[in-house]
Amino acid sequence: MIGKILEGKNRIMLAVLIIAFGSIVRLLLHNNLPGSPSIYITINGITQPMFMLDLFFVIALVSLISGLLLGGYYTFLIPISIMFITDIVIGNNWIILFVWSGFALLGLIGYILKTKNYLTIKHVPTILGAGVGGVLLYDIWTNFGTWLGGWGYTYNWEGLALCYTKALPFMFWHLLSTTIAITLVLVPIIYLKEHKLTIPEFKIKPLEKKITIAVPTVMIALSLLSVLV
Amino acid sequence: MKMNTKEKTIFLLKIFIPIIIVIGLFLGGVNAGIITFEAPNKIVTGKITATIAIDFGDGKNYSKAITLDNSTVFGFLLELEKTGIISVEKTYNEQMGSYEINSITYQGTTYVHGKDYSFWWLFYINGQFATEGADKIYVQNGDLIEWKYESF
Repeated sequence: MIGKILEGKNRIMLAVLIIAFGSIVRLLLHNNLPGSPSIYITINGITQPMFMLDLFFVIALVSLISGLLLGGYYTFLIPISIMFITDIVIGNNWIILFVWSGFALLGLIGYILKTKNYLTIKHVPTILGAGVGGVLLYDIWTNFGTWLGGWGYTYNWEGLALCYTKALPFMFWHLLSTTIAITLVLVPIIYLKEHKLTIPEFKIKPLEKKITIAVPTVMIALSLLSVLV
Repeated sequence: MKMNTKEKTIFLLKIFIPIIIVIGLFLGGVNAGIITFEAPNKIVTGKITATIAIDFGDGKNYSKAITLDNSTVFGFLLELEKTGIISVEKTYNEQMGSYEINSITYQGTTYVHGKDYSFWWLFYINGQFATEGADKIYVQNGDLIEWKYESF
């Protein structure tokens, strides 16, 4: 079925498939995650679990794939659609715009890699590096939003440092889980692309390219407005 | 596209060097005591006295020193509930594996967690914001437990 969709260059069908897959996985796993492993880290005088498990890696991987394989509008439409559908069931919190724009940024990173034709075995380290960079960017951005919204943190450098220190368990898990997910999913896709599977090059019109870059930018602006106003 | 030997070597170095660095940092952290495998809050035997202070966010405050056998922050809150001063509505979150506060009622006013997506119950141990569930953190003698109904 996937082969036929790719043969027909059916971008919409592939997007629907990815949205369905991402939504189902997120809904199935959200109540079935194991507890934090017994590894603790002390930074800035605060001892906390080293890894706090969540399902970030599912949407992060889907965002990167959306940008890498489909590009254009689907770069942000796919991750936001999954978040919208699953948040109806799971719920979200008050930094929802920061979270959604963070995933749109990850999609944009995937799209930038696509425009540079990095979907090859030779560029796997670059893709992994971009994935790591994207995760760091996401965490810096969303935790900045947490601090800005005043969630128990004072509006000074100490408050900001405390906010990021408290976020470290989530960041470490995001880095570990997303790196593993990229290795297990994207690397085989790239291998198949170079040996058997034909992944079509969807033509992206110039207007679509501009909108692809504009939408995450607008979402970032809206996120800031949502806490500042 | 086939890679020559030099390109293959650079490719493998780009993969393995970061892995080695990460493993090295982890082992270094364990060696330096920054990373441990034991929970920081050990259960303390015997009676523990801690002060529980509640800020209801509308100018109302209440505090009381409570003495209990080894217990969690949540246990201290429930002990305060037994005195009849407050009433606590709670549910067990299976995903997080801990109890969550739904509301605390004090002097006839119910303060709902997540009201209008603007008001939330948070707790602090000795001034430090807690990231674990209240039923996961064991209280030490002399601790100050602050429950705050905060708006953001």
